[in-house]
Amino acid sequence: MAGQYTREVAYRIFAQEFRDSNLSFKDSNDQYSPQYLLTPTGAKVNRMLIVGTLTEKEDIGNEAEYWRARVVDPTGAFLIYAGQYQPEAAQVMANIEAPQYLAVVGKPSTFQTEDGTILTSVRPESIHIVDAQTRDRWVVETTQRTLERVKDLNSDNPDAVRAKEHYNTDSSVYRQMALAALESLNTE
Amino acid sequence: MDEKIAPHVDEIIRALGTTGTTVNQAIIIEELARLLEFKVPLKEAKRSLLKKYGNIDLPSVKKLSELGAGERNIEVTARIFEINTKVVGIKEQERTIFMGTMVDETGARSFTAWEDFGLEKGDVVKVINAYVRMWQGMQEINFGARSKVEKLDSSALEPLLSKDLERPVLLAELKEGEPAVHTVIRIMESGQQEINTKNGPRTIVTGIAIDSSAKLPFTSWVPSPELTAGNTVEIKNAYMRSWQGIPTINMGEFTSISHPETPIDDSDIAGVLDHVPIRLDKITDRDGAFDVSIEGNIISVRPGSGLITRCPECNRVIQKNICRVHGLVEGRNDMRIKSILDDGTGALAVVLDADLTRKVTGYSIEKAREVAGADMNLSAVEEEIRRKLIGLTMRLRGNMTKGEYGITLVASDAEVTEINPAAAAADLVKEIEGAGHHSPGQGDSDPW
Repeated sequence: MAGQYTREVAYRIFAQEFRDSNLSFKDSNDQYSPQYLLTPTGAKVNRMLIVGTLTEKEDIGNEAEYWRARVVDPTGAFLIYAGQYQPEAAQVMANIEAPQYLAVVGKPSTFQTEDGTILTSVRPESIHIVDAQTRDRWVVETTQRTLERVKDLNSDNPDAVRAKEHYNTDSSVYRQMALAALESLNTE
Repeated sequence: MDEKIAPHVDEIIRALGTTGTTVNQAIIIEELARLLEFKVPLKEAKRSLLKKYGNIDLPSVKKLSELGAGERNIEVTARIFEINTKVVGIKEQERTIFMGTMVDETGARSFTAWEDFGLEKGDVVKVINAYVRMWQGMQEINFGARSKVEKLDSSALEPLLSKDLERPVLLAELKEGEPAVHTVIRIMESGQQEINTKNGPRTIVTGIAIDSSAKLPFTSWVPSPELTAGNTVEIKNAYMRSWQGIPTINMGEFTSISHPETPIDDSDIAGVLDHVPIRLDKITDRDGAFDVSIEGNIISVRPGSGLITRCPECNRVIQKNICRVHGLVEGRNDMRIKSILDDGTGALAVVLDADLTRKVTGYSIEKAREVAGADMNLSAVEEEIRRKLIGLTMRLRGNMTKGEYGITLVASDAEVTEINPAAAAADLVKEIEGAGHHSPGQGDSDPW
């Protein structure tokens, strides 16, 4: 059944790895083909699930509301931008106060600054308030997925090969990151 | 006529014949010779004559896996893997046809030969001007009087795949429309059923098969005493058909059923029996799955979830008590959840009925009506469900099917799973550190 619709998987990525990512591309030239962000451990991301703590939010829009928010996990922070094209997410954003545990499903997006640095952020499809247990569970799962990708880095999986080529990934960095995130659950 | 071009002239005339065009042989000989004189390559010359007189193309040379239903005028080269004769009545005349399976390096397909080409098991043949039709949900290559069958040297084709086909395949790897299926299964459930066919009533056996990878339903069109619950059987030359979106093993008159040397015992199938959840990337590439267990996060609750109204006549979901078939009706309330489950390796749509909706949200239809209030604000219910479920980890059981709108699992059971994240984290740390001891300090070269 070729050509059938397949939904893009929501990848679990820690903030540190997301921040280190800068390789964004499409698989074909078609204007409707999905945009991907390849991370240092070889996740080819078009959608992600983040569960973390909202620490700051700010309306940086001029006429229409445009929210910028920081959602924090044990390894760092994700920047989330929600404006008029993400009405549901923007509405949730307008009505919550930090700190709060959030589940964010969204698309990665990249921005290049004048000095050539590439910044990553998330354009949310949906934002929902969740509890602490859901947040902790996300950390465990994201560790598992991250370690799987790290392990896969030495395979001939084309995404892994490309990630290693582009980032020259030091897998011990991401293994340590994932471990530290896990250990934070025991000490919190 | 020039010896060299004679077979090509024959081929052109035969190909033209399939369109009902008859052309004087002399004309074809003359024109073909003339084109060749003008240094037109032979293949190009043939193509151009076929186009000119019959408006048809040269047969397209295909591998078995590239075939699509409805294709005509194809040329395939394959090995006869299995062949059986069958007597059928066509226009009140008895006729012998030849049915079987052919394989090449890309796959296997069933075929029907409407004429006796003297084919035998193991032959490697080039079939020119065959066509593909869908027959009982499977692609089938057909060839007859208008086709040409050439036997080739049997070493002309890599026999690799035939060897591959000798190996039994796990249930989870079986795809829809596969012929020549060889698998070892244990019968979980089985029963006889009387059905009416156009040739009168018939007894068939239906049931559920299991192995270490999955469960699948089966249908045997020929009753067999071996297909009794608890038996392990080795099945050869069965075929896969889709039944209500689920791949189903079909056993027919040419299927052999025997006892394998080692039966499948309880420990082999424990994972499937205990409903250990399967990672979504392992399941979304199957054509469908029967009674599987999966686990992941609810990352989206789709519109149309919560309290809905159905037409009492046809069960369609209706708005404002107007059914598009039955007009104004007294709608019946129901509940459902349509959502997306995602575990980071795969994603699919899941559907929960009223009972399961109540199990995971605590809302009965009555309570949902209260939330909706007097003015029946349905989106209030949907929003409540969304608030309760998003982000939660859920374990589901049910049948998975693939369709135009993606992959869907209709749940037969659902539960929100609770784990202790701290304990799970501690376990994971232990696991990683344990693995690390084997090769300390190697950094990049060792993934752990």
